[in-house]
Amino acid sequence: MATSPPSASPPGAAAPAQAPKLIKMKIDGKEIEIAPGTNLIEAARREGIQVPYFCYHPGLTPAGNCRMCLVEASNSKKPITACTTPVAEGLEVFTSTENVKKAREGVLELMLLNHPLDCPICDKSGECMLQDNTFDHGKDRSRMVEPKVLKPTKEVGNDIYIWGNRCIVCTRCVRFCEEIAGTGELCVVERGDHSTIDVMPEYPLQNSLSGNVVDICPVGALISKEFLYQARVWYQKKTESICTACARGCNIEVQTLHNKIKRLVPRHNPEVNSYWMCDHGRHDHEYVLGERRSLRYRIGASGSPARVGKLLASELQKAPAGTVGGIASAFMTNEEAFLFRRVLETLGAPREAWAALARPAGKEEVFRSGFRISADKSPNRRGIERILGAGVFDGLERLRAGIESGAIRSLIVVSDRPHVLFGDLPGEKALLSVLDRLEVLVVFELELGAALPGKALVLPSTAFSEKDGTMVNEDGRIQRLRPATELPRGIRTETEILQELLSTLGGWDRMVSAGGVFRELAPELGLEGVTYREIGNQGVPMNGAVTR
Amino acid sequence: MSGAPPGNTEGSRGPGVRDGNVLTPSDAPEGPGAMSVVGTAPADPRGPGSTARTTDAPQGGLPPSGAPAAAPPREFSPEARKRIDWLYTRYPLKEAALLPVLRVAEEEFGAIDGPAILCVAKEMGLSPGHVLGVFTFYTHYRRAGDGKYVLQVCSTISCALRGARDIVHHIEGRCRIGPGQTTPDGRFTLKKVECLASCDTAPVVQINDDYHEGLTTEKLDAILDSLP
Amino acid sequence: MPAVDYKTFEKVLLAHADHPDSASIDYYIGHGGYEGARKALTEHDPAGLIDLVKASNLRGRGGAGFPCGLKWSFVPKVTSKPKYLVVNADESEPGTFKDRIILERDPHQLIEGIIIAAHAIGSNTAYCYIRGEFVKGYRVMEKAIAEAYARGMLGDKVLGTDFRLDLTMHRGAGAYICGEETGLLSSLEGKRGLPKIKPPFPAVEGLFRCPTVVNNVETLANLPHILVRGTDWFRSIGPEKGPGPKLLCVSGHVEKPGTFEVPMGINLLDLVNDLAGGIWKGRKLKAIIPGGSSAKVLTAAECDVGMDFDSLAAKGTMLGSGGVIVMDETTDMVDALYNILRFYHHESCGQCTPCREGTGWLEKIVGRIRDGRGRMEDLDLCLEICDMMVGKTICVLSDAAAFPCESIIRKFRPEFEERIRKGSGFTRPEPRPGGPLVQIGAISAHNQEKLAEASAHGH
Repeated sequence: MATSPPSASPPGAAAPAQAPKLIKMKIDGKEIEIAPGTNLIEAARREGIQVPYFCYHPGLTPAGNCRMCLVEASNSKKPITACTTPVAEGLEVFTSTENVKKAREGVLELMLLNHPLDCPICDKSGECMLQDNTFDHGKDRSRMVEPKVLKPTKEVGNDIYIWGNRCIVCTRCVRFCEEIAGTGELCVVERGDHSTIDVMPEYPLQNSLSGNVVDICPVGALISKEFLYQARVWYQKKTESICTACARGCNIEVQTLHNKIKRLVPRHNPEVNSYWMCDHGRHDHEYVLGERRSLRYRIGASGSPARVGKLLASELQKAPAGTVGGIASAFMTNEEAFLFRRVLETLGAPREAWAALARPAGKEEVFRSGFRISADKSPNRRGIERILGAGVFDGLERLRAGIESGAIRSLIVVSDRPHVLFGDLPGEKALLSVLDRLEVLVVFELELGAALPGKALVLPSTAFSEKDGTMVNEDGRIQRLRPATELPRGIRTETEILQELLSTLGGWDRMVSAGGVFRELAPELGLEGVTYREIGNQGVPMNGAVTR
Repeated sequence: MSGAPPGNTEGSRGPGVRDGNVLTPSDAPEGPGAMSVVGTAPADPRGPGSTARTTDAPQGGLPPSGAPAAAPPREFSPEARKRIDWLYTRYPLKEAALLPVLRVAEEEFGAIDGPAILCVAKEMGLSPGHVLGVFTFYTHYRRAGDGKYVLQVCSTISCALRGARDIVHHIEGRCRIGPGQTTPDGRFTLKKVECLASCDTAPVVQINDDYHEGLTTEKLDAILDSLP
Repeated sequence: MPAVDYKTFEKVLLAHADHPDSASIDYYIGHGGYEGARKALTEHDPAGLIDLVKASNLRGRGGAGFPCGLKWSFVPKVTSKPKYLVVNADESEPGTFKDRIILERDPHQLIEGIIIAAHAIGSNTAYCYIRGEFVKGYRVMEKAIAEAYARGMLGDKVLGTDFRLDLTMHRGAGAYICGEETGLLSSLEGKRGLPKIKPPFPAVEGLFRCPTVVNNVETLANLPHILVRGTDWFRSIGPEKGPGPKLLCVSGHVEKPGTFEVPMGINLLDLVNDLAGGIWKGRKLKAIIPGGSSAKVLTAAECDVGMDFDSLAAKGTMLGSGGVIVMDETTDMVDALYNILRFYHHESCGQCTPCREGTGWLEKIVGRIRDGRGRMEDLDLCLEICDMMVGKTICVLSDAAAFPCESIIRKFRPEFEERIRKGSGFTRPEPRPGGPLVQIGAISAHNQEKLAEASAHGH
């Protein structure tokens, strides 16, 4: 994420839809045609040529100060920085001449001059641009025998530390705070080789995008306290998924070690979150293996998790048809919601008895670059509305009335993050008070919550990092979550249990994966013929045209 | 010593002047004695978590974080405000006036320290980080902890060739301080600075605003003795 | 080239500098002042004025020697953006002190030059960026500007014409890098004085991203005289390709250091031995840096050269800012180089890796040699580092540090080698090449204790 380009669309460079005339030029002797405005690093990247850099980042304005991307060009006697130079008609660029190689070696030797030999204790090791570039382009030993320049290590805010000795003053973090967050807390102080990153003590790093500076730091200078000494990156398992802290649905990568989530980092998606994610989402994973996690099936002495779907089917069929209600959750995947609906339909649950719960609206935050943290703090409200019906999030009171009147005699609830059913959401207390009237109550709960009636059948539900499925963000984009952590022992996914329940009821013929469920669901979302493969790791717009 | 206000003839104004009350540049406060004594400014403008405290090789424990006790916010006096408002009229973008406004703050508060930086940042609508970065880039602003008289001894090549080192040693001996240090009574700070562009009259010391050229140790003693 | 007649040369720029009233506008006007500006505004349009200055062959006096008229011609004629004229009064090149005389003693000459230049490029807004340490010069200039506004030399109708010009003094605050054209512009914009990547060049995109010309004080001071006395006169002073009166600053080991106004092309030895009184204390010449500390050094044998752009360039050095630093036979070249490198290390802005790290490393290595702890391989190492620093950075401070280092080591190599062999009797222990894992001085007291403990227990 700090070093390699993302797998999908090429980052950063201007490639307007109706492109004006392409520019013809040469890179390393090869003729290319490229959109005007593209910088030479991107132009080379498209030809499979990696020009090394540190301070350049496709999401920030180029600074050209690290001098690592120097290349030779026909329009200049001196080497030029590829990151600050746009393509030009007839330009010839050379990226691997002897002079360029020597320049790179020189830059690296000088950059490593005062850099401490911290690799053994530095979190960035394994994803460090300085390590990688030195390995590819640098020398293997230092010639400096004098004491190194020392700079302080200090907190700059939000549990982020600057290890001044490691900083290469690329100013990515300063530019980020200025251009993307718009808050400008970080600055370079002093000058020359005493330059380091600092903040005014009264104005530490406090914006909600602060975690990104740790991601974009090319070395281990900016360190997150959360991840400090936690894991070696090369031992971690990395899974592409989606953040579930709000409806933006930022594309993320879940990094785990021994099945524990160590870190969430953003993935590039120009349609959703650019290169960034917010701190709320970044820290939103402790609950997955937290103390309040519900891990036991409370389904009676004779119940067994391996056949719980059948058990649920027999229980739910005890009441007359048409007396079942259901409460879904905006944290369910589309696949889970689809199966849930099928269950309700098969059991004849009346539409007035369908409800859904979401997190209360929170604060919207918009930053200078346009990055938005959504006020809607539920990741799949749109998917649930599409699959279960537009008014379903307003159905709680109606459902409660139905239970109170006796019209509804059994209830299936899927309670995911964030609310612990039955917690403090509006309407929940009222609902709690009528639950005793139910004959059958089935609850999938993520975290241990309010006391449920003794006869309730309680099943643990899955957390976001255990789900395989899709969600729809606030822009109507379908994106894929992948399982990043293994299910706690003995837990089965909702997708599996609901399929087992449904097939026992006769509404489903065979057990399939989440992808198989999606195939059934896709036409409803205006995505005829679309599978997980087309969704890929960048998602597709619901109802939209999909290009392969 | 007031000349006509800039552009006062026939209603002309500086670039982007907003209204008629334009200060002349010569209304600017002047005179070497105009600098107030430093007084009780905190030791380092950047507070306890700052660069002044250097840690060395990583030791596994991170230094304690935490903001310093809040100092009362500083305000500019009406005279300083007038000067600042006039400065804004000279530039198309307000932020360009930062260096001159820092000079006003230096004059007003005696030195640039943390509260001064916050005051300037608030006045100009800039992030405090930006002002801190700009202030620490330059060496010629008075910093908190500077003595009443800052003895800036030019130590670059032309002065070095003509005995700057002796001047430094002499001050070290006389004031018992090294370069970068201030006497305990807060009277003198010794700084070795770079070329003051007075190489023909080397060695040279700038004491606050004034150049003292063609120095010998005797001349220097006479000057230091005569300072109020 | 025929010997330049400097003895009978009548001063142009410093003609009035010694008069006690030289800074007052009355004195200035009484001695023909502002005639050049009047001619520029009434007899020439901007394009004509540019051609005139091009024809004079006036080259910049700040250090780069770029043809002044040519630089002006890069400013777009048609643009919706305002154009700015910026005066570089940040004189900080070691060995240079000529602009200070004009600022302190003949400010109106500069203001007149500013008017001419502003008219030529179509600028109505000028800034004079003066280094923070020049407090006296700043006050003199502020007073002169107030006088000029009062008398109609600045403001809405300059000299009674339709030309409007505003001039603002802007004080720097102690940074040599703000003498670099784009570093100056960054500082003028209220930021850290970091040089900008070129292209785009300031003439197209400079101050506040508008067309900007940055001119040195001395360059501008020449303009009134060119207007009044003509290009033929100007071109007749010194070499045709880079003519005019030149203020040369002589400092260091001479009897009479000072600023001398001479025709371009004066022989360096004439300047030093005649005008500056020769080497002091009866000693012999060892070396001269001819153009401010960024210029490559000349050994005594190489000093028979004309002081003009092209002659010095041909000798492998440069006229630069015209700061002539003279060193006698007793000069320790190692110490001199150390002093110069310490300057660049202190003044590096820190943006680019080669300069930020290279200036520090060079200072450390030469410091070590000076202290007697040098190694033979250090000399070639320094030359290699200089190679890493030249032509690879955003601005030329990196080159300016490398030039004296490379030239002094190359031309005085035996002295360095002798120093390395002899040492200086210093008793600090030798650092080992390849370096120990933890450098001495980098261990905290706490850890030093632990280390001592550990080694006591035989770990």
